[in-house]
Amino acid sequence: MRSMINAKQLTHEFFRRDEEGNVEGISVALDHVDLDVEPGQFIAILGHNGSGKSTLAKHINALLTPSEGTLIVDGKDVSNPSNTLDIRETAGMVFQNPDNQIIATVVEEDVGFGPENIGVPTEEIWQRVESALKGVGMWKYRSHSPNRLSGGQKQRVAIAGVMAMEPKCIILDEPTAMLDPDGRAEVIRVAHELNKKKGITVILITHYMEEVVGADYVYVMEKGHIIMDGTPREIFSRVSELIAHRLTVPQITLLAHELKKSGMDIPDGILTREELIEALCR
Amino acid sequence: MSIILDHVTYTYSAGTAYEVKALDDVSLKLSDGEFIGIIGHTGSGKSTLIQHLNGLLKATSGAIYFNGQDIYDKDFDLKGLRTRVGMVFQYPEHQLFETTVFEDVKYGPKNQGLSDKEATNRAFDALSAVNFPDEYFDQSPFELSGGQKRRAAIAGVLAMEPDVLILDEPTAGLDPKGQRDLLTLIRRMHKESERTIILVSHSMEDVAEYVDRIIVMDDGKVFLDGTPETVFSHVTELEERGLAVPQVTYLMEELKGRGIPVEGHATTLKSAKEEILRLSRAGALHV
Ligand SMILES: Nc1ncnc2c1ncn2[C@@H]1O[C@H](COP(=O)(O)OP(=O)(O)OP(=O)(O)O)[C@@H](O)[C@H]1O
Ligand SMILES: Nc1ncnc2c1ncn2[C@@H]1O[C@H](COP(=O)(O)OP(=O)(O)OP(=O)(O)O)[C@@H](O)[C@H]1O
Ligand SMILES: [Mg+2]
Ligand SMILES: [Mg+2]
Repeated sequence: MRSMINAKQLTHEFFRRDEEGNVEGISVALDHVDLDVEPGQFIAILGHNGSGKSTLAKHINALLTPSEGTLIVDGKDVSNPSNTLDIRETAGMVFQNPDNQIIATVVEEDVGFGPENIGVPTEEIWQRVESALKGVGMWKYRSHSPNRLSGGQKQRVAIAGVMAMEPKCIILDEPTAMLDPDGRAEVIRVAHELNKKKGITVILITHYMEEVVGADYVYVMEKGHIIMDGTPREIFSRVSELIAHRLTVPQITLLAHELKKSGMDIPDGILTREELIEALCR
Repeated sequence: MSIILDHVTYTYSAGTAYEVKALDDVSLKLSDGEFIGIIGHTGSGKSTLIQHLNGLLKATSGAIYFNGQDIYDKDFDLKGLRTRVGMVFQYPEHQLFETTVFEDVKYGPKNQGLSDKEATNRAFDALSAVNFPDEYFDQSPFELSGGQKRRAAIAGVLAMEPDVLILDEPTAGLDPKGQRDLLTLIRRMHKESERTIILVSHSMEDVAEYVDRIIVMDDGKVFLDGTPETVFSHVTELEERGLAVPQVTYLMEELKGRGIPVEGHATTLKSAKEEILRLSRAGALHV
């Protein structure tokens, strides 16, 4: 099977310039990254601030191009400018702040904006808008003003906007950072649903470890490198290592780890409350 | 330093079709040296509430007293209030505007009338306090990663050494270590300086761990006000309002549901751990 995303030695350098525009320094935001994502996978990316997560995400969407190495998205090389439009149709991006992504004054127009922009015929636009809004459970809000929705609802509209482009892959860059617990759960649930029901490849970037538990595979970045990868259970079994890399584990995993250190007989890599209760009451 | 809100109501776009009553008859007393957390669903009025505390928004009706003085009195020094009540906004990128990070952080103290040298010292201390990497001091604040921007914005407010520090979701976008460091820093500042701290957060685990008092907002009203233990004992009511309780609190509730004689209301990892160890020693985990 062809990879959805394949990075080989992907490197990105940002040039820092002083006031006169002279190059003052270079930040290597991505440093020879190798990564392979199969179609239909649900991938999570963790890493400290400035580790290169958003820079990686922006390459997958052809907002940035590699300084070195290659990145192939669904068979297309992002370095080739003639692929840019195709790649943006294949991979859609949702950002952290829902307010910055909403353009129109009515929900359905907002969702229709993307497809219209890429020249989808009017009739088909409305079909796509309907199925996208139904997909995220926001159909009944179609004629509302996006400004009056809650953060979780706004973020679902932003996801619908990306879905209406019918991408094969959605990249969510800290989509829940500004949401309340309910909104956060909602967005993660919708992402899993799109992944399961429509086979859309999902790349989730987050600082909330709880949101990673349901992913198929996790990559951990540090200073532009991928330093760990594995299933959530494999990754979250390495508690001290994660903490040393500025990360953490879900609160329940940490509690299990602490109880084990206090002498209780509890297995590594506990991810959920059910698993911990099972282990405690055995 | 006490702040009293007396029947405060605030309406956005009053008199238009888009009128929103964001605060609805809120009365509160915030005392000197308290460490307060504010939680509530998105749109519940948290940001609106705190912007009243430094006079950025003016109540549509009701009164606010800062140390007994009516802040809407025409003799009241509102500009002075803004430097005494420091605010880190929810979207700190909107707070950054200078050409370099260092100049940006110096701006507040300079504006307070400090000399260039003093302002430089303050900026240096504030940036170190938030662990801002020094190789980026002279970089444009707009060319930073999300978390780096937030640190820069927080440093800008810390540099003014305000009496009351209000932080609107300061950990959103920070990596877990950054979140821990920042909250530990805030806790330390609270202990050392007796400064009043108000923390708006969507992380139930964080407020449970750090604050002494939680105010729960719901549709512009104060729904609950109490210690973390009392507030987080209202599991269903919180869930009905878009909120949750800490993961460990759910765990303890579920153990209780299995008939295990759990005592108290654990809201932090430490208290849950102690209670489970107690139950284990008592052989009470197997029913
Ligand atoms: N436009 C830019 N110009 C120069 N340097 C940049 C730019 N954007 C990012 N960088 C640098 O590249 C590195 C990686 O940034 P990136 O935004 O990818 O990090 P991140 O992992 O997404 O971090 P965060 O968790 O804070 O969002 C950082 O050191 C950052 O300062
Ligand atoms: N500038 C504005 N104009 C009109 N309505 C506004 C404005 N700012 C906020 N509102 C509305 O006022 C209400 C309270 O908003 P506020 O920003 O105080 O909520 P919040 O609790 O801080 O939410 P969040 O958790 O999303 O930050 C919401 O219904 C919001 O839509
Ligand atoms: Mg980022
Ligand atoms: Mg807010």
